[in-house]
Amino acid sequence: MGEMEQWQQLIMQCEAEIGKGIIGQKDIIRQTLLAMLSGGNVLLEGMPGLGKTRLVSTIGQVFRLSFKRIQFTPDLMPSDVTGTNIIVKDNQGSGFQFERGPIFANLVLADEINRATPKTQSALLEAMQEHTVTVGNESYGLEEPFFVLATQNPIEQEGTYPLPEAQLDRFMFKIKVNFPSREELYGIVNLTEGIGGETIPVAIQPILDGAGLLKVRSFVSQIPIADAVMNYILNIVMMTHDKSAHYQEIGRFIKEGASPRAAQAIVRAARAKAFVEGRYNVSFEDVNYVTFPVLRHRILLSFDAVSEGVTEEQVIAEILKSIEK
Amino acid sequence: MNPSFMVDFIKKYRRKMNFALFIEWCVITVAIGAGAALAAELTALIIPFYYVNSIAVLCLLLGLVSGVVLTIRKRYSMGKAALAIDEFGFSERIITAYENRDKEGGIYEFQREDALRMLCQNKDTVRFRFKISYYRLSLCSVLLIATIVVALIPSKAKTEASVRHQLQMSAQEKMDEIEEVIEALDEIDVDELDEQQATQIEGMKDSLMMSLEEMEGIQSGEDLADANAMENALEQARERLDYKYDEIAEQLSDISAEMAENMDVATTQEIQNALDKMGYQDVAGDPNSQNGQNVSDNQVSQNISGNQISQNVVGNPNSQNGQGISGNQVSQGVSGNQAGQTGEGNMTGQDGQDGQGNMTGQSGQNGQGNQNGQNGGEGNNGRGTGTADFERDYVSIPGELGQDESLHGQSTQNSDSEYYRDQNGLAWEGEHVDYNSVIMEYSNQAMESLEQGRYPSGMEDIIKEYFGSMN
Repeated sequence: MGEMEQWQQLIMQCEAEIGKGIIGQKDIIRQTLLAMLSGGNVLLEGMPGLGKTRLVSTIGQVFRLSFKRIQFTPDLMPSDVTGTNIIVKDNQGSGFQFERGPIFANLVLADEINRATPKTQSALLEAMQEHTVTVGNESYGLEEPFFVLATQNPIEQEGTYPLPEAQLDRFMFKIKVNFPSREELYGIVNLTEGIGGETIPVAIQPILDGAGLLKVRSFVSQIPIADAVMNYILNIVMMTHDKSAHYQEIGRFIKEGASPRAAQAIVRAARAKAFVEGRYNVSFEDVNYVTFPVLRHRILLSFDAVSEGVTEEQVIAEILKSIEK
Repeated sequence: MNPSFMVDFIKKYRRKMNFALFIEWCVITVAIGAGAALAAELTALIIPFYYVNSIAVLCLLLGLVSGVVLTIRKRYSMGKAALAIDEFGFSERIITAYENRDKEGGIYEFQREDALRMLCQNKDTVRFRFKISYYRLSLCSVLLIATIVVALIPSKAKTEASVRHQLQMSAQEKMDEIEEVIEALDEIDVDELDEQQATQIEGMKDSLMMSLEEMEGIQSGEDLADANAMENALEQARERLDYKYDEIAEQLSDISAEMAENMDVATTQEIQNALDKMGYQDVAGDPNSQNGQNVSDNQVSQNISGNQISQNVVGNPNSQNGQGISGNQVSQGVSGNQAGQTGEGNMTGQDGQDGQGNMTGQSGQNGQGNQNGQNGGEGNNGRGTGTADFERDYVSIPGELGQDESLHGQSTQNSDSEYYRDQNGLAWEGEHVDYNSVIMEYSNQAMESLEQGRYPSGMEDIIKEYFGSMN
């Protein structure tokens, strides 16, 4: 069996292992995994109690990655995220020592990111973009792989600071976490509460480490993509900006189209999907699958769309239907 | 696994795709061509158009050619064919492998191997489905059948078109003939001729040019309402042309005779060429031969005057002779030697009878009676009475009455009768009388004279037949 196939098998095992700790949410697990394999960050949007924190902690266990959780509140300071210099006294006197913040981990869960002030948000987002933290005149690199999973509550808008579009663009995926089905809910309750009030323990086995994850990323980045598929991706992104009469029905629902990062994100994520499915090439189905989480937060709907109740998913579906392969 | 297997597989599939594309485009373009052809055929049912069938066939052929051209332009590439194969569940393995078939490297080889393996396992599931729009095919078939049916439907307009076309062809033939004659006349070396002869040659060419223009007008069909009008116009133009040919031949014969006397063989030959083009044989240099033998078109028109050997090659010695008609028995009989003017006329009492022919005012009335009439020695080509002393007119009313008391007709106040070429053909000073009224009058007078026994016995049938043929 080839080396790539071995890594593919490991990734499949990782996905299955994560699924042990999370009941249902197969899509969420798959998409989160794809983002990790692509080197991107994820914004999870869902109601509290849907297992977002458990998801990230389970991922951390499977990949043997360090995991930190940051609960964003309105009074959270940037230094609470990045770390700060503190005065330390020792035998030689006192001096400043940089105390690393919770961001110095492989996996960071930024819970309710929209509750923190823009200043604190920017501290996190800078780290996401640069993979470095700057405190004073010193820059500290973040350990690879570095992965941020941010969450936000879709209904609580009072006292929140919604992320601006420019900042949203830094998240590769925006994943909507839906309420589980009845069966899934039963499984969740059974898992946590158990029969007779006893929690059924779930042993999560570590399968891959950070180096292995980086190795997989390198394989993913090599997967070839045909010209026809590449053109398909480009057409998708271009159509979000097309206001011509030919695509009038789509154009009137989009106020602002996606940035070039969207095309890059689709390519990387589609490669990751092909890899996970054991293929060595990107297909149209891969592109269609990853387009939703990539574009969801990158297109700005117009007033017509809002007034008519048109959602981002509907617009994206229409775009995919309109483009010829 | 051999990567060429994949390329060959894609090629075969591409051929099938392009063939289907060819059929699809041809159905569309041939349907369009058939629609245009049907429109043309329907139009031809009402508006005369001779070449409509050719146009219809051309439309269909253009449709077919357009289908071929469009197929070539829009033919599928190998990449498209590979993508089409991928639709059978290969998830773009084939197109990716095809595009990277020449690239080396681990991942490319893995991908090629993966694609080839899948293709080998599932190649039987890859079947090209020939899809054709039955609606388009039906439409194309209906239009083709309708075009054929309409093409076969007869109509007045089609008949008219056919007749017009034939007339146009006839006019074109005459035009070609006239052009040849003019060309032959151009070849005559006028330097060898005297001034009068050169002027005559120029006059001949001018006259023929007018006929040519007339034929062109007929051929183009301008100002001619229908085929009947065209036919009548053509007929009249032919009559005028034949008369001119006679005139020209006579004049050329005279010139040729003079040239022969002057031993100018070259010019004589050139004149002979011109006569040949008109269908005349000039034997002016031979006194023992037939003068003015018009052998063009209708051998009936051989009216040999100036020669005591009369030949009526038609085999009817009692008719035709004297009519001097080339191609048209009706017209020239008026001006030519009438029945009995030829050698037969000599035998059957030419005396005085020439007056019939000469009733139309032909000079040469001296051909009657005591005149030999024939000895004009001028090679009367079916007309004329053999005298060189008078000008001959097509139809003219003489200023003076003839000597023969049986000459009837109207006189004018004019003392001279001369003709000149104006416009096309002939016009003359004096009173113009419509031909149809003149001929009716003459015909009636001839019949009255017959009843009164004014003509020699044996001539009655000839005279009756002669005037009867003009009605």
